[in-house]
Amino acid sequence: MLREVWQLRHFWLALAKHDIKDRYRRSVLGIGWSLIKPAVMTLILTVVFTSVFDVSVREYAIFLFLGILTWQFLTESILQGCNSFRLGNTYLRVRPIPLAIFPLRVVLSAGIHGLIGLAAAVLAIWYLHGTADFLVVLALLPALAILAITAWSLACICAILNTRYSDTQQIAEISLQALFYATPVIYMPESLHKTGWLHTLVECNPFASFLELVRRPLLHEEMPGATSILIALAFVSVAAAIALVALHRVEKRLVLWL
Amino acid sequence: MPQIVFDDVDLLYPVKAHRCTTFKDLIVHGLFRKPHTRAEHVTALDRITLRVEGGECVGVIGRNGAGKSTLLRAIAGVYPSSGGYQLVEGNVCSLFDIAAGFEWNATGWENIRLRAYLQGETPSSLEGKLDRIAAFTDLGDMLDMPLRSFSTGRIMLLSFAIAVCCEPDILLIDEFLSTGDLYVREKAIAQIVAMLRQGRIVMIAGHDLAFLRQFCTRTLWLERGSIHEDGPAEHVIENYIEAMRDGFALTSPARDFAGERGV
Repeated sequence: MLREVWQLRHFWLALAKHDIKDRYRRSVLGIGWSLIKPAVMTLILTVVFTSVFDVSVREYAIFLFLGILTWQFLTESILQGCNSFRLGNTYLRVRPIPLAIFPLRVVLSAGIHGLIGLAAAVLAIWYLHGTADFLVVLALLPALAILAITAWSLACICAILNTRYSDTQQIAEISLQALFYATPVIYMPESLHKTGWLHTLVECNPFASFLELVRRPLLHEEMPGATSILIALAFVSVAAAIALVALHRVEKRLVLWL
Repeated sequence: MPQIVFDDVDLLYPVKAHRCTTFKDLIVHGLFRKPHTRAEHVTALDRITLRVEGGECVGVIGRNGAGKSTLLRAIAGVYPSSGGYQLVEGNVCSLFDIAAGFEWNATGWENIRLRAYLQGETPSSLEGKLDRIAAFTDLGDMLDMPLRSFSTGRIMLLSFAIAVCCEPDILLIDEFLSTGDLYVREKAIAQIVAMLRQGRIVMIAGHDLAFLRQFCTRTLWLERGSIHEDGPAEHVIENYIEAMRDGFALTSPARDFAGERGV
């Protein structure tokens, strides 16, 4: 199946390119919007939370921005992934195409937006904290690969479920909202009580590990903790395995559900 | 040589109304209701046995819902068969639905690339064909416009041009050419004839019997998902028209109405 996906790479790359272009058609700022949304969120939340938490604006703003970018990438992939087969219906009825292409299309376009934000964040870090160790930034690459595979796998699973059970997207939205508070996007994991239940929850939460994978090298110039790496790897392996098995099972039949 | 072999092929289509389509249904059914025993499938294709060789142009006729589109989609590999033996040799290109496989907000050029990549072309293999496709469509600068500003006939022409330039071994056409004007149709026919001369397969489903009669070497008449008659186009179409006029397996309100008016 992955070989077929690779064979059709020109197709899904062209689709993703079109999606990105189409999103900003007729808007003056164009792709700049992908930067403005998380930036404005960061600005507002920084103003609010620097007066709640005992942190400096300098430290908190970048921490928050990286969190929002990563969270946005994952949720956008999952929620838009839910509808990706319905959107791809028009192609699926022309010829048999590997299903995984359509969630990939969504992940790619969310990923490009995420990367633009990330590039801005790296520049901001350089400006604020001086030159970062190049090797540390390089450590980000495996983290991004893990994130991309996770997003693709989750998008595939949700797309299959949503095609079969049309209320999947609503359930996913509510679940992600709950998960948002169990993930240290806006609060710092260090600020939680070490003995509290939320602390344990955050420790086991794979999404928290993903954030750690992105933040640790950029903010502290060090490798992420072994626990975070292990949790992230375990989660991405399980998600990818489920996605592959599920895709294999519905590959031929799914078009009849659309 | 391309060929299509179907041996006792069945296709069951799941019926949405008869099954849980939301998690809510699933939970409610699981907890409070007894499982329903009604049939969950309709038989869309019923023991289809068929053999088509290279160079044949096959028409597919039948009443609405007889399974014409389903048969073509099964041949294209879009719909999975539920039983029987199925072999399709050669690369297939299908023209099923005018809107299918296009992005409305993308330009003509972007859509040509998308559609061609979907057929397995690469940027380098497509490069030489782009001019040919553009020339075939006669659309000129119009190709820089988004597809939503195209008329149905022009979209038809565009997808036909892409399909032909990708040089498929098997071309499947469903109720498609009827939107083209006379000139476009003649142009399409010339291309199809060229394809047949090269030993490729063309299958056309539709209701334009005069067109099919003039054009097809052979015709399949489908009735309720199975092949009612398969033979020389002239002969099968003649029988079909006769049966429709006699009210084959149907009570025709139009006939009743005509009767009331004493026609």
